[in-house]
Amino acid sequence: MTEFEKKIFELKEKIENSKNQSELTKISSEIFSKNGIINSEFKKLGSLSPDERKNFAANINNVKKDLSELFSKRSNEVLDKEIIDKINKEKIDVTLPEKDFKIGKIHPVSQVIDEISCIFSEIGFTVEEGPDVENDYNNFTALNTPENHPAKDMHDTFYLDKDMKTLLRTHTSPVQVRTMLKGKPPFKIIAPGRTYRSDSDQTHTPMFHQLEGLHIDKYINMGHLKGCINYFIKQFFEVDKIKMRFRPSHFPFTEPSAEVDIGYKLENNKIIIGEGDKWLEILGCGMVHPNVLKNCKVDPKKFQGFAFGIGIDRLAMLKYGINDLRSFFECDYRWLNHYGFDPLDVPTNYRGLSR
Amino acid sequence: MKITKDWLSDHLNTNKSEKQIIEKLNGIGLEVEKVEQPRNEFSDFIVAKIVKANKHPNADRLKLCDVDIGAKKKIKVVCGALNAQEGLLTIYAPPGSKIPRNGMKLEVSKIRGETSYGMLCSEAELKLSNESKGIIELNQKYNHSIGKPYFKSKNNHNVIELSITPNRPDCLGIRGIARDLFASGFGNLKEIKKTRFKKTLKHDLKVKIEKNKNQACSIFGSCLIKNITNKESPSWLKERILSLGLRPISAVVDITNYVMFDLNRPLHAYDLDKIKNPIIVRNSKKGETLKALDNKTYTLKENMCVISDDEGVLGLGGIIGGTRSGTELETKNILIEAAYFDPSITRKTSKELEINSDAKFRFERGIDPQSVKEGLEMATKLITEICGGEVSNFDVQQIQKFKKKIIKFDSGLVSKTIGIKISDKEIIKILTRLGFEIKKKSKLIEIKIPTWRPDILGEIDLVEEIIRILGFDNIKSIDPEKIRTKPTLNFYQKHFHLAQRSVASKGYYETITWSFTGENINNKFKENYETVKIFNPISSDLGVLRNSLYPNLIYYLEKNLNRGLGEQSLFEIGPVFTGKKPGNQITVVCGIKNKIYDEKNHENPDYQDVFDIKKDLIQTLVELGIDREEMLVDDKSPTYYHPGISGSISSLDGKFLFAYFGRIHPKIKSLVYGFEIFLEHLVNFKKVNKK
Repeated sequence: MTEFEKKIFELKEKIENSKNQSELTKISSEIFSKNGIINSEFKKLGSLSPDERKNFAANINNVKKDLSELFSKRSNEVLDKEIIDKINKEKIDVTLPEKDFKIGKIHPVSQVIDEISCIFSEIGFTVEEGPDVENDYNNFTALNTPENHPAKDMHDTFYLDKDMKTLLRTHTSPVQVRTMLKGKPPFKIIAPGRTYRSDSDQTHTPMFHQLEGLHIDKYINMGHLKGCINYFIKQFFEVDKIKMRFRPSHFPFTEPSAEVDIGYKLENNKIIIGEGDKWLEILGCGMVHPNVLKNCKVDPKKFQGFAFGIGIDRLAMLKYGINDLRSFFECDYRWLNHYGFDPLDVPTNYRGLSR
Repeated sequence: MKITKDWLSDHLNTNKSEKQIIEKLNGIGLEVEKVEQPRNEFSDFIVAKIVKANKHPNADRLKLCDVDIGAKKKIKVVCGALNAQEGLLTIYAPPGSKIPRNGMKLEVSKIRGETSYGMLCSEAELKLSNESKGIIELNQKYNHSIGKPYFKSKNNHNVIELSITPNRPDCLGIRGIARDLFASGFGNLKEIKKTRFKKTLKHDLKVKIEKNKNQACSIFGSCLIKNITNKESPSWLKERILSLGLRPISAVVDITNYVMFDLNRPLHAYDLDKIKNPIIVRNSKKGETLKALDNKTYTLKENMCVISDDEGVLGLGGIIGGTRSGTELETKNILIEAAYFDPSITRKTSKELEINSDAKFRFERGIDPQSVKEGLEMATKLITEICGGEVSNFDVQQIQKFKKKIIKFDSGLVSKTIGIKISDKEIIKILTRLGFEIKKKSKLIEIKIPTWRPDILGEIDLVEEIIRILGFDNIKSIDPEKIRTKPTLNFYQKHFHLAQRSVASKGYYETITWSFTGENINNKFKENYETVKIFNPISSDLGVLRNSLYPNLIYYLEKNLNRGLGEQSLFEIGPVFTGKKPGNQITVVCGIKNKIYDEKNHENPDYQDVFDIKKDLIQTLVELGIDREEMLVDDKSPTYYHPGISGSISSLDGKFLFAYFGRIHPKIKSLVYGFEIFLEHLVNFKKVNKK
């Protein structure tokens, strides 16, 4: 055995016994670096005859290849072992609770507005808006509610001035007036929004939400009104059969006027919609009064149609089993978390309104 | 308006049941609100159970009982009876009730230092027998009746409470309701019997209506009845008065009330001997006073309609009478008034003086001007029957004629409006039964409107009458067409919708807070906006329209902290008011976050959190379609932000302010961070630059 062969034998043993990366680095430089054993052996080539050179070089190359293979094999083994050792030390208890994912919530009133808009969108209604502050004319007079009339008592109005000319709208109906005045018939709109009455108790809040509907065209009659409301109620409550009745009533701005009740029953203090023999009032509607059309520069001889007003909060309470109207506006974080909706849960008519 | 089937049958011959009648009333627009057992003199007395009978701490012979009266809370009653013991079922009389034996009215009182709410009764006290030893002992079957009246009403007619819409004054009388039922095919309307009686006296009190400007009174009918014996009403009358929810007072007063509810004809009875000749109906002078029957003294403004005599104001026309000329049990001679007062003037006066009365409620809705004599006749008949006396001729002063309105009606409007065909024959039948007179039948039907229907002003009102009586069930429902020709939401509305869900998806909980807030907190955020005060706020801390979304959001964040909740992210999207005029409002999306630090956290919180809020804001703007490269961020911000830790985001040219963000000024609130997005600015930027 030559000195070289002996050395190689030793290095092979060293590689096989190496324990970690740093040992391997050291060994690597002993073998492959500029002054390593392989290069040193190659330097001997110069003193050899051309015949001897060929064999000598081939021999070194074989040794080099041998060593590299051995080295990389061992190097991989060491690396694997190091990773496994590290991983074994890293073990954590994955049954511990996960981190919170913070997604927010959509208020049930907003969700219900989107649901309603979705339903009416499908039958061709567009969304309109009007300001929260209104003048007396748009809120009352144009809607055929004269000064000093008891019908005004039905609305406890918030006024912004002493002469009671500016006010917070008591219903969304002034949007009817604004829409008709700025455009030309036909009109087919809904208008959701905030409304205000100076009333505050168990079942009333000074601010609440209404949705106005208006459909004016040449031949729109009460049959269309009935069909439209029918369609809406069924879609909204997502039930096929629903008991519903139209009851004559009075609003100054519609004639004939009706209130719509839906049938329900109580089971374990829970309201079940559509069955039973109790009635619950959910909206007011009627054929738009010719005086209102005239006030809005629409010719009642040529055009007619219906309007309706829905209490949005009330519908939300019914559909989602919320008992207290006041809780809508109390911003209790736990309530919002419980009754709020995932923002990705956008009501659509192909997936269904609620998931 | 309250009715009973029994009273209704005075006017209507029908074999329909109470249940059928209720259903029909709802069907024709006379909404039934409630159906309940009638009250009578004895309905105050309730079956009760002694749950506990303790010794009275300050009196050996008294007991302090916990009594179950069917309410949530047990009540305390002091009782001296030996048999008052635990478990006893007995009869309880609440405060306000009158004990039949001695007429004593019960009050909440302290007995030897212990408060007693009402009393437990003996048989003698309730005039059931002479047994006065101990309180009544009921047997166990009453265990199911705790809280219910002990005495069953003699008549079994329930009181049906109707909610009458303001357009239907005629249905504030039983007769009007009977007429509507008749028109809808329920039985026959009875004729009101004309009774002739001898008018032996001469009406010798002069009455004059002054022709003032805006005189509310246009008819004043009256008659005198002398030598009556006013007394307690007979029981049939008392029962009817009680069924209305009123308390019987005396025959004269009860009869005027009875006529008001029967015919919707308000009357007023004066003590004739207290009127100082003559009666003048005139406008008031400023500063005149009236001590009214509600025991309040009113100082009148100029031009309110008053009934007066030589000594001054006797009463406010159509609203309330005065105590000076009020009738009492001893009253011998009376004057009965039946008048007509203008609805809107009456309403204005009563609003200014804040008086509510059954008469005012009716006059402001419109009383039949042609019911003056009818009312006087009915009252006179009843008074002479019950109290005796001699009657004078009727004196009717009138300064304005009421002619029946005539409407020319195109019956084609019915099918055009309701979508189904109804024959002229049917139309005429319904209208006739409602009291309309059909004058002429050609292409247009000429219709005379009865004076008790001030709500019928045009053809469309007649259409309503017809379909109301026929029933809305007859209208055929037409399914809506599923076609959409225009986009549902406009450009701005799409952004509103997206902004709402975009902010929510970043961990914020959507809230809806009042559009109003407290002036003090609002002032900290109002900057250059005008303060908009509410003239009649619900409370002073909700006295102004909000100039920012922050005040309410911060208030509720604080409330949640008090509820024991820690870190929160809240937002609202809604109106901020920039002025008092309609349209002076903008839409703001405002989000807030609070941070709670423990002592170990030494990092500079601001550095971390202002970038937290900025991250949420910028990502929202990006989702709303503003590229990051289109935003100019600088350190300008309003005074309610921390001056060193806040900024604004606008378009590169600075023309469109998209948002503010930063830490709320520590003087206002510590460790709260927020942002405000100005939706209209953003949308306008996109309209100008990206559309």
